[in-house]
Amino acid sequence: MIMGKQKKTKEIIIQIDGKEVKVAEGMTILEAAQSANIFIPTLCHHEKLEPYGACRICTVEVEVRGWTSLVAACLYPVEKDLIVRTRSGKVDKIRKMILEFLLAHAPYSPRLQDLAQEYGADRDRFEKESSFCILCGLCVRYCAEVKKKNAVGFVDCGARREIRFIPEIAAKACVNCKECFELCPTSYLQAAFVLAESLTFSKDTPSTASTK
Amino acid sequence: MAAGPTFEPRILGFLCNWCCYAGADLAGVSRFQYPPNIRVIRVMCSGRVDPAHVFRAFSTGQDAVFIGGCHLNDCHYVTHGNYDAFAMVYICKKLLEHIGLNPERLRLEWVSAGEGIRFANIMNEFVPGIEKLGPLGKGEGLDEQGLKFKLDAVTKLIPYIKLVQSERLRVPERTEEAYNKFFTSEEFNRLFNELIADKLAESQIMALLRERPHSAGEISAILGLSPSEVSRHLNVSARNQNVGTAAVDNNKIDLIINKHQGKAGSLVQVLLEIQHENHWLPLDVLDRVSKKLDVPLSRIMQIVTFHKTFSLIPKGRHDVHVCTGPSCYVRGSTRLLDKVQDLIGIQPGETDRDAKFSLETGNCLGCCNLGPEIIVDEKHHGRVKPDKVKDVLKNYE
Amino acid sequence: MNSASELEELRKGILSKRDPDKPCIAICAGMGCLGLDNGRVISAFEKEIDKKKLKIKVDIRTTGCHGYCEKGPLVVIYPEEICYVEVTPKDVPEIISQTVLRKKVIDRLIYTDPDTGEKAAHQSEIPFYKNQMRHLMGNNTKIDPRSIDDYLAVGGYSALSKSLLEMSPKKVLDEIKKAELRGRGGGGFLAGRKWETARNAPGKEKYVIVNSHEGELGAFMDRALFTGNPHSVLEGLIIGAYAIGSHQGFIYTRHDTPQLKSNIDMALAQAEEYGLLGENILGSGFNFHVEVHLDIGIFVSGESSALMRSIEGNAPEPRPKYIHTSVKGIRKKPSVLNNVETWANVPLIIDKGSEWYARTGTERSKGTKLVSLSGNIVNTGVAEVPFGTTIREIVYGIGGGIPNGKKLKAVHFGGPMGGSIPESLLDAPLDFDELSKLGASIGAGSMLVLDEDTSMVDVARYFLDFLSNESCGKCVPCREGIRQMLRILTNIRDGKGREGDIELLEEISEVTGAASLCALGKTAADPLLSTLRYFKDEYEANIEKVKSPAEKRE
Repeated sequence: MIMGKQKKTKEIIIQIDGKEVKVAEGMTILEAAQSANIFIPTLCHHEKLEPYGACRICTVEVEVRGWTSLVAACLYPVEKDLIVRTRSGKVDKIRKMILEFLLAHAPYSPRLQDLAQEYGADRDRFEKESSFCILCGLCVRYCAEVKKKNAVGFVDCGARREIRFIPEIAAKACVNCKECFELCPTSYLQAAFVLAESLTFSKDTPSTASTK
Repeated sequence: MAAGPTFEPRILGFLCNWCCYAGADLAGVSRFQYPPNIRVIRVMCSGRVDPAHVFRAFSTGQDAVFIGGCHLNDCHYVTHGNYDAFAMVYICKKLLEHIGLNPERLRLEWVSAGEGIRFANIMNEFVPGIEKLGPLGKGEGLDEQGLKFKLDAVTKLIPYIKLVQSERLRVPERTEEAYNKFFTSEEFNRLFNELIADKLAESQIMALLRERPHSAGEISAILGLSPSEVSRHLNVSARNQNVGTAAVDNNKIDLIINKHQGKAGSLVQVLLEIQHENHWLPLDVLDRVSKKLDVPLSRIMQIVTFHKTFSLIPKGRHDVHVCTGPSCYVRGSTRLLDKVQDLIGIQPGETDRDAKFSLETGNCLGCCNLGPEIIVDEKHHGRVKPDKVKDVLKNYE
Repeated sequence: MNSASELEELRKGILSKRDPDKPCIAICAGMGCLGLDNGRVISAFEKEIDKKKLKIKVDIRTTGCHGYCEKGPLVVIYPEEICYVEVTPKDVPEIISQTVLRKKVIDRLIYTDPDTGEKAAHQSEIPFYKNQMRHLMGNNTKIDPRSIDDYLAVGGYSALSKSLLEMSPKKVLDEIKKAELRGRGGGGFLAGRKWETARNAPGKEKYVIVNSHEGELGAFMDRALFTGNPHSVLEGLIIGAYAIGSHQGFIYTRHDTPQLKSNIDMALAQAEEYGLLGENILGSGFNFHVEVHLDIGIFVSGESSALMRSIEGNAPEPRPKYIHTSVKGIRKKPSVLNNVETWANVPLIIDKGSEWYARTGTERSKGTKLVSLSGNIVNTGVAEVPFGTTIREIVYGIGGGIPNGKKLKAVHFGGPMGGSIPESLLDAPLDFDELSKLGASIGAGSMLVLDEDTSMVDVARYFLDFLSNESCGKCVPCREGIRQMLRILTNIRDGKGREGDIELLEEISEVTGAASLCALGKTAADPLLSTLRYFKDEYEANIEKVKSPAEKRE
């Protein structure tokens, strides 16, 4: 996996679902599969953004040098003699459960519902959660990497993690943009924006109020 | 608190064109008497009525709002808009309750085009009922300013509430039982509280702070929230605007930044030092750091909210830290924590109303031989029994 | 200093000025004793020495952690090496007049065995100490961490001089490989192999990092070692950097222990002053600089890739390590991260040779291990034992057993990413692989002892609760999996468990373990799984809404 300074990248052969595929060294499994028209589901992946590896639904089984493991296809770099299985008992189980986790948050998201049908995920398996953000990070990363405005970011960590708009930036930058809205698989992004707008953008600059 | 005999309620009605309006018309034509207090607006479907309309009505002086639509499953449109009205009214009623107004002031009825007498009967019951409740606000003991304040807070949130409702508070089946079941369920209650009620409280707190400075105790009294809840909401609101006096010298900040050679990579070290010096991080300090180190504010926000090490609100004069590491845990730190929480009246992560104590629980500091321990202002009080907690805390002013 | 001989001259000079028979009062200034108010004991000694005008005749030395935290404040009187426990300021005048001046032992201040009543005045007789093999911690009583001279006096930095001036980097690397030094931070990965990967990775700029984060719950031995003897770790770091070819080191330490940070800063400054750090160390031509970074307090920042992101100035979010950090770490350069204890073992290996080192321990786990004893145990503190010692020996021989006459139920290793060993398996040896097989990975070495009153369901829930707050929240299996497991476990603990809960927990833990991004998520369910393996009856009892015998939690 040496990214040398040469423009020419080596071509290697790997196996995906029994098919032999010619790929360039340095590609990820996801890129390789897409080039061979093999579908691997993703939620947090976008071709304009750096791969993130957060949703883990692209998990696939790989076998190399006799070792089998489960890895995220969007990040794992291809190597010679790699054998990839995009569906298997374990892989399906993982994807089903990830969908069930996310459906507890956003049971009506069309993207999730499509995948849920494929993997037999039960929408009501887990108790419903209030936040309907699935934390795919598409909005945050789009604003950071493509628009370079950083108007929305993550706050907090663990189970309390959520996205928030930065009022000072969003009040100016988002008015004519909102390109991230269509990336959001649920409508949480719009809800967060509207909330931020109503609470913090309005009126003149909110002065530094103080509490004693 | 009943109003005097001279109180004439003002009621606004939204009646759907196909059924209820026609029914009201029939009542009129048939000479069925009912009080004239209701002013009718004809809408094409009860589902058209928006929470914004309802709260605008209340904000402009109406004492009650009536919504009339077709019977369920009889809606003239294939979209069954009356179910939407059904859901909307449930939510509005809950909102009214939350801001201290009687939810009876909002009423939803299904009246068909031929039910003139039914319409009259409903009005004959509704209007005296509102008379008894008294004028909006006054009837519930709210003064004019307080009422306006609360209604404003809700109105501002309506776009957000609508999005939440459409995405998160959907009912799986379009049947009356399903709707009733969902909106009276524990799950709905919980979702409403976490998604809407909390934001409402934040909205009100931020509005108060915009007016003028308020102490945590004042906020608690005005809004009827416990100091613990106020502290919790302040913590969240602080992510969007300053909630304390930003009395930090810019020179000091610059000194700290320069000490770390103004490198973007030393962001974490700079923030830690400022936190250590000032005990909390005002938003304009973060702004300055963002500009000087040329890092996006969103990245700074992620770091400072990542862990409780950083605080975006002013802390109390004394830091009370109850160790909840595993060794202290098996030696009884939970009971200790309960006692401390009782005494101070707040949960971990919060500051009490007089800004005396800030409570935190946390990770093992490595003094497992002292478990269970309380650390106040970096002084260790080891092997503390729950009944001795009072003694530990009483010496702090 | 510019050569080995200058170093030896300096050392000889220091030693010549020290009279081995001069009375010295070594007072433990570790975290545990700090919390027990040793500050007052220290000032009491200083005042008394002043009063009696003994300043020239008697030395006072505030040292690093002595290890026996339960009995603090601890004082050791040299040259007789008399050990006094639970010393108060009131005892000070007597100690000076009787022990220091008249060499008499004060009975009430020495260790008394709680079971037999036997007294022991020396570390070599006290059960807590005598069953240990204190290669790393043994010198703590003789060293003031703020004095590099003390470290030199006990032979410090001779390994550095040997490595830089007598051995090639490859030779140093080979020694470490032969010694089979395994990482002490929890991974147990062969250090030599990691160093080799970094050494062979392309690029001129390489980094070495000391992971002093010690986020594991119940572990405090790294702090005891680093605060007490920072030079031992620093020496190991420089030797490692030499072997790998790195010229920049980082020390990543906690922000909430000011004493540790100031000791590290002082050690770095003093080492640089003596030419043991910085440009042209000991005249060898090898340059090496160290930067200190503080953490933000979250558990996940102990994970190597998260730690490196934090050093870069970002929020500590881990990344999947399909490309190892020893190939692409900080700023995409090869970076070797090792635990404090691992680095401290390095000078030992170079000094005494890999053969000597490999004689201690078991076949696959060589050397000694620091363990921190805590929980329901009589003697809390830091102990150092060779690998292969059985857990029973540690808990009873060193730990003194369970207080209040209770029975032992389990010993939990590895904090929130480890597992529990039930009483029936207590004769298992302390060993990376053996314990892993039993489902309780040794982790960093924290041993949480649990007595019969503990509810294992509660313990499992406790660790999941901790992780739900300390996980970074980036990936779905970890964040959501922990959230759901915690909810189910809380219901079970509160007697509201339902049929099928255990199976659901196992299913979730399978997904979390397989699909999570980093080790935190992958091992999050381990405490749960290990308690299910050995204490399933407690879970089932709670599900059938019958209070199990050990339900009560204080």
